[in-house]
Amino acid sequence: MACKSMPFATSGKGKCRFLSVSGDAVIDTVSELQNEMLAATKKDVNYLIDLSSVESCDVAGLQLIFSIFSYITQKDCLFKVEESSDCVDELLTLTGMTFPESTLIIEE
Amino acid sequence: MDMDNQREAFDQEVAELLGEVEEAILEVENSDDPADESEAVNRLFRAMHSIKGIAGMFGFDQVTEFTHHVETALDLVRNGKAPVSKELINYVLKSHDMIISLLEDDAVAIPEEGIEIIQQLTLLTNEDAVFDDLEFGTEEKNKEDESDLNSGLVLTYRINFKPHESFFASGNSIKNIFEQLHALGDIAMHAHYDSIPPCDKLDPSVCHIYWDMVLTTKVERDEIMDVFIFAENECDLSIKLIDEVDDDIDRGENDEHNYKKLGEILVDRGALSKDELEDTLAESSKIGDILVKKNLVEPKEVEAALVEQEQVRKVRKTRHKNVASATIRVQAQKLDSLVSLVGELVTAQARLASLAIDRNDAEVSAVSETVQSLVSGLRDETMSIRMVPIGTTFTTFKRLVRDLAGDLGKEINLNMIGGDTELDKTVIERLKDPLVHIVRNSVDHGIEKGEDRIAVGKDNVGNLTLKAEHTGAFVQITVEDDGAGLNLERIREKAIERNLISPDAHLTDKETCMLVFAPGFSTAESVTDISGRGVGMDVVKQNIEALRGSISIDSEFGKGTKITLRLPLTLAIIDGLMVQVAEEFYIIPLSMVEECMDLDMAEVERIKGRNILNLRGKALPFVKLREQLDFTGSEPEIEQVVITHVNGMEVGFVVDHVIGSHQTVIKSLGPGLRQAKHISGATILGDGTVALILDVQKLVN
Amino acid sequence: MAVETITEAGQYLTFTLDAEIYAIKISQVREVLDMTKITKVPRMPEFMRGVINLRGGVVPVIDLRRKFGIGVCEDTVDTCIIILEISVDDDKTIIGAIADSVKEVITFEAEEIEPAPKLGTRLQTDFITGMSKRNEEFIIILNVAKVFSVDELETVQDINGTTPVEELAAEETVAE
Repeated sequence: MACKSMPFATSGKGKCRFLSVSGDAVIDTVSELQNEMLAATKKDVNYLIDLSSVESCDVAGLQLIFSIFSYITQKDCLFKVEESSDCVDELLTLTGMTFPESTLIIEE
Repeated sequence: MDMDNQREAFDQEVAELLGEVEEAILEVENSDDPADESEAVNRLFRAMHSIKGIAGMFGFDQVTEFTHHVETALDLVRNGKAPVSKELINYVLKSHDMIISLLEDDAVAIPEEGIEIIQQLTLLTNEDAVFDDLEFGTEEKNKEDESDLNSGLVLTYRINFKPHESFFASGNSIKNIFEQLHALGDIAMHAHYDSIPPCDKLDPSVCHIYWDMVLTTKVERDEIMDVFIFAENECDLSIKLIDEVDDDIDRGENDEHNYKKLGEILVDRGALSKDELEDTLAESSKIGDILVKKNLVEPKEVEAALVEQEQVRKVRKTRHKNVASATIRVQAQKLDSLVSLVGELVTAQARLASLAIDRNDAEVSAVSETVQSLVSGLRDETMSIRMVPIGTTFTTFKRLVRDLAGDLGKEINLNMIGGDTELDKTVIERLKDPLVHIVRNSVDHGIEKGEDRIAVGKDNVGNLTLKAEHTGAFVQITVEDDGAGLNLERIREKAIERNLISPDAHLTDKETCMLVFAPGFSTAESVTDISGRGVGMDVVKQNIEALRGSISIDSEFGKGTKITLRLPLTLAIIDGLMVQVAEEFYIIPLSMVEECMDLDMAEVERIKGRNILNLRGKALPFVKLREQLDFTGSEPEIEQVVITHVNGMEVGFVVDHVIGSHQTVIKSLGPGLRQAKHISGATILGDGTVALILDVQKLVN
Repeated sequence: MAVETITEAGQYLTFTLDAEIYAIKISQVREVLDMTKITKVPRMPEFMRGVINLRGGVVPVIDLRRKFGIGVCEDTVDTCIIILEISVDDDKTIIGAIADSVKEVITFEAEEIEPAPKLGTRLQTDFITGMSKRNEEFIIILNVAKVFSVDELETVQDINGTTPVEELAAEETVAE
């Protein structure tokens, strides 16, 4: 599975889940990845997003990642990108795009 | 096409051309007929010329330059101005190898080895050549390098790039495009990505992002256009020159004003029509014009450069035309799905036929038959697309054997039979390495040196035969040599030494031979560079078995060795004979069936524990499938026997009923059933049940 | 794509074999079929019931009772075939497994799963990745990759026609 969602305990308000994406986020895999991501974010909770295991990324994959932020926000939930990966960061620079501001703040 | 596709197409094209070069030069070497020889030289020249052209188009300057010299030498040969000699042939072969390594390394300069080849070729073809005439490096540039002319001129463009819905599907890569753009200069990006829908509403195959960019660079607009060349039709693209600044010139006045004035001046002087001026101003300024006007470059220099540019464009167009008309490159994946669909169609048609019979509808039956013959034709065409004759693989061995034999000081005659036997493309790809290893073994360890051969009464030239043929649902490939054969005693000793068998184990000759495939086994006295320590044979066996095939060795000490590979036709739809035993149906490949008849018990005898049938005076051994397939229960009164031709013998198979011929779509059994050695596959019948396909050869053994 | 190898929280399909409940990760389950005609493949191990036609593909079907050495019984109206999609040697394969009946899909949280016990089950312990309990009943979570691995599928049976596991079980009962 390229997209996993696991419960994450936090002392802050509201329940939180870890969302980790791994593998290839490219045009060939976006269709399947989309299904997995939607399944992983079905729960209306807040999400800590970990992209550090994304091995390769193209514009189609990046677009999908952005759409997940939008989806979470649309459900009135919060998100934060905890970690990114080199290939994602490089693509962001290349395309002149940046991740939106995190809406979630984790209290330790 | 993104970079990978382009590069792939280039690699394929070059590989084909190099193959032609090798074939042609070997033909030159081997031909006795001067007409054939000269035809081969011509082919050689044309192939070399094409390589030069295509390498140039993709920027492989060193290859272009190197090939140019080879081409020059070959030109002299084909015009009869230079002789074909053994050294020439060797150097042409070396050139072939050098081109490969130049492409792989993408070197900045031709290595010494390459220069030596060129020098030798030149010497061999032109005795008067003086090496000062040959200049390497910057003089002979086939690729136009406009940026040299451009130094000092900095241009700024506004680029608007909006991919269409079909952009991703077209195989173009935005990432690649941006990487190339960033490499052209400084770029300020503004991405519009607010309209990316949330994940649940998103169609991920459509691009919802578009960009505005400002690029400051020294390159011409055309070079920027080239970045988008394959994506042109898949996006809205506009590239506008918004500023050009010449760093070298004093910017006292407004350059744009100056430029317009000049244009107007030219119009006034009649040197330029108003329309021409408008056109020129509307598009970005042609660098050539600017420079001529600035007196930095002679007009005829610009002309020459333009001619070169035009030349390349023409070559590109012709090339595309040629390639397009002769063949079409198709991705293997697309063929796979096509074959799959045809397979399903055959199955569905069988279902249709079966239903037509059930419902006793004559009209539907008639249509079903029409469909059947159409499907048959479709099936044949489709199967033939993926099937490639093994001859092309065999031909690559010509060079291998020649070089190897030469290095070892042996003379070997290579025979190839059945080159038109067709195999699935992927199977052939995966066969290459194992076959190379087997052939190397034969040349290295199998065939003896000339004097050794004469000493035992053989001809001093060794014989190596590669043979391929269809047998039922399999293809059989044999590599046979008349060399020293396997020393069974030594193999036994080594095997005991390495604890592969116990000292008192009883093995048949064939089983002893098979020990050669055990891991870590080798009887070679010395480790030779050529085929190593025999670590390969077990890997070879694994590779063949991974293709669901089998390998066996036959050898006679002193006489020779024969290695046989059996490979299934993986993507086959074969003609099968459907038979019934008890409640189950089975398929026997029709190509192995000779005839069917009722079993007349009166003609049956048991001789030496075997079942023998008296067939018109001939003794025909037969096998009762009921027994072989572990069926209990009693057979019908009258059984039928299917007479097959297997391994050069005739064998009968007794079944309950012979049903009839059946177009059989072979379905693989999957990993769990690999053990089922007597079954080579399965098929789906018209009523949906599964029928197993019998591996006749295995059943016979 | 990333591959998961350890037992994880998530959804599982539960089914029964001889009154015991087993579970398989739902991501490996393709579909569940009613019992259908199985074409026997001769000279195969007992646990290999044969092959079926699954929409044009030929799929082998394993008799889990025989594989695990649990007693065999007649198929009932509830007997069904679970179609699994597994990775065998980097290839994805489709294999069917016969179950007495299929129950429901349960979600396990990570804390609900315990490691496999060393003793006390009839199965080879490496067939099991973990155990859980639901409504007072034990659920055995199967290691699908191991049960259907190439080695297991190509197990050679000795002359008795039993698998080594069955023999072990037979021995144990005798010892008692």
